Amino acid sequence: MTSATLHSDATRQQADAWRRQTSLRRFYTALGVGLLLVAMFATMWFADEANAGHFFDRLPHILDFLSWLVPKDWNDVWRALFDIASPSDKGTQEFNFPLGRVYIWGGFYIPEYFELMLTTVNVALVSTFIGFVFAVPFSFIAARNLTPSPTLRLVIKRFMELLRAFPEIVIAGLFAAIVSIGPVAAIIAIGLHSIGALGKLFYEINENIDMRPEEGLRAVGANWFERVRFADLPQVLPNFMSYTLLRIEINVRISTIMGAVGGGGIGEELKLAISRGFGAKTLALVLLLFITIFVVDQFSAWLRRKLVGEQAFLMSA
Amino acid sequence: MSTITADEIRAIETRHPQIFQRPAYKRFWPVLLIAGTVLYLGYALWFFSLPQVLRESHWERLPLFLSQWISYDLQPEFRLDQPEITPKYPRFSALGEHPNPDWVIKNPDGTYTVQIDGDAKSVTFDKTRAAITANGVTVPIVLTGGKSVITGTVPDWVTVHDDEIVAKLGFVGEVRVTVDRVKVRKRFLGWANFVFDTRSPFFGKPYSEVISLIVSGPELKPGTSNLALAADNFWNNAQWQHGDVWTKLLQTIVMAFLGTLLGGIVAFPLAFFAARNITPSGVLSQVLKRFFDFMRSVDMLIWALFFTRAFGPGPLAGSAAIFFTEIGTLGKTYSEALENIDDKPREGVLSTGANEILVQRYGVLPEVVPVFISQTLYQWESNTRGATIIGAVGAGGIGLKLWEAMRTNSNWANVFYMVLLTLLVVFIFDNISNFLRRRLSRTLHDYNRLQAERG
Amino acid sequence: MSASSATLEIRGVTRRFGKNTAVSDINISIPRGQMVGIIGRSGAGKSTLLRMINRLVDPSQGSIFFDGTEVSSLQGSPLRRWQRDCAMIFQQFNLVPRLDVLTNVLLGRLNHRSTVSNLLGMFTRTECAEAVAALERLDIARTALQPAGTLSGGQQQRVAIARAMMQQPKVLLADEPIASLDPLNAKVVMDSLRDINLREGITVVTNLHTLDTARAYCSRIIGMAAGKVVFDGAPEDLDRDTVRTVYGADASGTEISEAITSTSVTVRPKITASAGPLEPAFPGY
Repeated sequence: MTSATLHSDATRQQADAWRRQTSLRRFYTALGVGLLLVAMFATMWFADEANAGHFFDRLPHILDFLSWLVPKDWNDVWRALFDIASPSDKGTQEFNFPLGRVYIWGGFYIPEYFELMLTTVNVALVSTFIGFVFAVPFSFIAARNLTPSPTLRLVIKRFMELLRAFPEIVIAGLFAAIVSIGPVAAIIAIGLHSIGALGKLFYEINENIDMRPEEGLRAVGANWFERVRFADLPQVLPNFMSYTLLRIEINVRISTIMGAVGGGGIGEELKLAISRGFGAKTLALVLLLFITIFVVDQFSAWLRRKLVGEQAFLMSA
Repeated sequence: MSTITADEIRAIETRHPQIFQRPAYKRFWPVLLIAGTVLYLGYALWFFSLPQVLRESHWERLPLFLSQWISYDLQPEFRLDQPEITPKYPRFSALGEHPNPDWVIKNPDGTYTVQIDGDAKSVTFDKTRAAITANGVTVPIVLTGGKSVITGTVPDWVTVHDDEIVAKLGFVGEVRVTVDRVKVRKRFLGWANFVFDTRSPFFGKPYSEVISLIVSGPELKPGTSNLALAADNFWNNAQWQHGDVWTKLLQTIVMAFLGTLLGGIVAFPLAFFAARNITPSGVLSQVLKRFFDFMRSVDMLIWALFFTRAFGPGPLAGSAAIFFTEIGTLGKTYSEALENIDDKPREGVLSTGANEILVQRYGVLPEVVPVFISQTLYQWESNTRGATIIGAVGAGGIGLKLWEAMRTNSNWANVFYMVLLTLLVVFIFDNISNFLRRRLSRTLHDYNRLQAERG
Repeated sequence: MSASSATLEIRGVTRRFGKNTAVSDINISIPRGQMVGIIGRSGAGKSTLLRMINRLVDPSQGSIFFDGTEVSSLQGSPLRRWQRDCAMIFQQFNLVPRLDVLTNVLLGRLNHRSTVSNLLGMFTRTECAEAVAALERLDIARTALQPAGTLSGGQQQRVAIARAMMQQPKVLLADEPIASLDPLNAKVVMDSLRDINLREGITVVTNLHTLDTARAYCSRIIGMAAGKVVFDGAPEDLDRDTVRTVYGADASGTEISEAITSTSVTVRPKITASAGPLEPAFPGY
């Protein structure tokens, strides 16, 4: 806008309107940010009040807390990881590394932590598989454009919503009382949750497919199963796989947490090591968990990029 | 189209070898994939020793637990070796200190009748004999002679042990008869004493009376208004612990909110330095990206355990755990969103001679802020669910309370109460987040449409 | 018209969408082996009519008979058998883009086989050979292993025709088969349809929005306007006035010239070359 045009009345009115609109928007933005800040400080205060130890009381001791993590002998971290006897072993649980060895054949053993990590990863894989196997057929029934029956669609949709929102920990607790506490209860809990979570994503993908191939096959005289198999599945499968890989990443994390509350696997050991202050064991476990999650994430990201390209990384906006 | 002869098939096959002689791996990869999956499942079956676990599992407990979610029971016990038969109730029974239920009847002839499901399922007894009626049959039991003995046939819903006779009456309850005592368990649908516990002066009063007491009754506890007393009694209900449950629930909400918000605030500036197309230094970008990966890969559980040890159990530890994980997740998604932006507006602002910060403010921010907000809302939504779980390791919130209530295997109604509240919270927050994101995407959509219309 | 066998009879068929009547009280009888072109402006109800014959859309009123059977009342597997016998080709080809061309063609066989073997995707050697033969005949056999989505429009439409032939249909419906194609490919596709009609004696009913294509290929032309049949006869009888009733005049009163609706191609020799492989891939096809 040049200064010459400002002299015209119409232009000035327009400029005023623009300024008013901008200041109004700025006001709303400021109000929103202000409210958010108030909420932030209020919740900070609340969280601090409700906590066993308070932030500013504990802050000076943060480094004290970290000091136990530093092992006397850094080699103990490797020994803990690979179950090799440590010279620091005085018969306590802190350095009893070789005890956990899982012998496979003769003198060949899997170190305890690797076995536990394997359990955690297997829990994640099996539960994702359960989720996938049920979510795929459910998603075709729950998609508005493909459903064979509107009533069935509603039932399945509500069922999946319930599974998704139901706290995993309650399902795990319930099944811990039935199949005994351990990885199987964790599999059931995470598996049921995965059905709901994947099913929702899947049927949303299904509702966005191109219906022309479906119509083409309908005109061929294909029944519902054949149409789903040949017209719909090829369109959605890459996206399904991509979301399933993402689910594996999430499930590895959840299964670690489940382990910490009794679901078996590495989580339980990590919780024990931290709560007892076993520095070397904690570092070994954190290292193993970190590497595993990192590898799973990177591998899954690589595979997803191959499957659906960069689109895999755009979250649903 | 008529049928095709073998010669013609051969001719076609020789004409198109690339179609009919495809490499084996291309033809059989689905089979290989399925075989691999089956093999893995077999391995998993062995790894988790599933057959054994299933053999030793107690599926009969499932309906029992599920029925306990929505019901409660009362267990009166009658001692027969005392001079006079009197019903005794366990301490803290749902009936309060002076139970006198109308389904325990003292008959004029000195016998007692306990109606478990009206008269159709009931037990009548005195010191010498008892009779259990159910399913249209009455089973007489003789209690003299130092042993409880059934005279006549034993129906299949009655089990005779050495010193005890157990009659299972389905959902409504059961009766156990020995020589010196009769134990009854009667199950009721619903939640007992959900509003006021047995110590409350309002206990056992019908709602109309409670309301009239609150509105215009005399002060039950001198110096406190009845409304305040009722609220206090409700909040501190010993059995349901409404106050504690709701506070813990609020903690869970706060953990997710605070963790995500702080994560977003920290990730926001860092993302600009991590985005390849904006950062002043490629090294910095790499360092930051690896830092984001690190924060994500260390996992919420490890952060939760560390902060629980550092700050003690509570929502502060949980918030901090979510905060640290979220720096990684949001940093990664923010920087990826920045790398995907359209460069033209940025160049436009750059061409006006604006400095670097102004370029970001006017050339980049308007484009990415809606995306950032949308992704933050998405994380907030999923953290609300996640906060329930990490609570169980001591990071505060409803998770720990849920886990402890389940550990005892007895208080399933309380578990269900908390589950319902959690579901409600997740549902509400899902919808808020969905609503906001839809608003945002509509704004984005409108913006794009306007841009397109203008050409 | 005599009620000879394998006649397609449309009796009093009406279709309403909400308050709109797309097709209103149509009566047509198409004997076996005819090549019929349906012309009309877009929105005249041509597509709806074809879709009702294939039963992708159900008639609101009236009935459709084929060979003495009322196909408009079929349900379940008899319906799907009718859909198999009555192949359909679409303007947008409606192939499965991610599947390869050969599989797309084989999908025409779905209704000839058991559901289980279909779901496992196991097709016999003979079926594969037949599919390739159909592709050879349409001159696209070399694309057999490409995903259908990577083909050009003309190639995709030819794949769709091959799929329709795999159905071994008695009737072939084509809904604007050349509307999305360039003139060259349009010619190839129309030639293939005529070839199928002449060689196999399959009834072909095709929607066309261009008059000269209809004139060039069809032995009978049905003109539709506002859901009603306004012309039914030989191409020679289609005079200027009738064309005006079919296509109407635009608001300013100027007539639609036949040239506008033309798809005629000037480079004729080249087309004959590309439409070349009309010699049968194997006898009897």
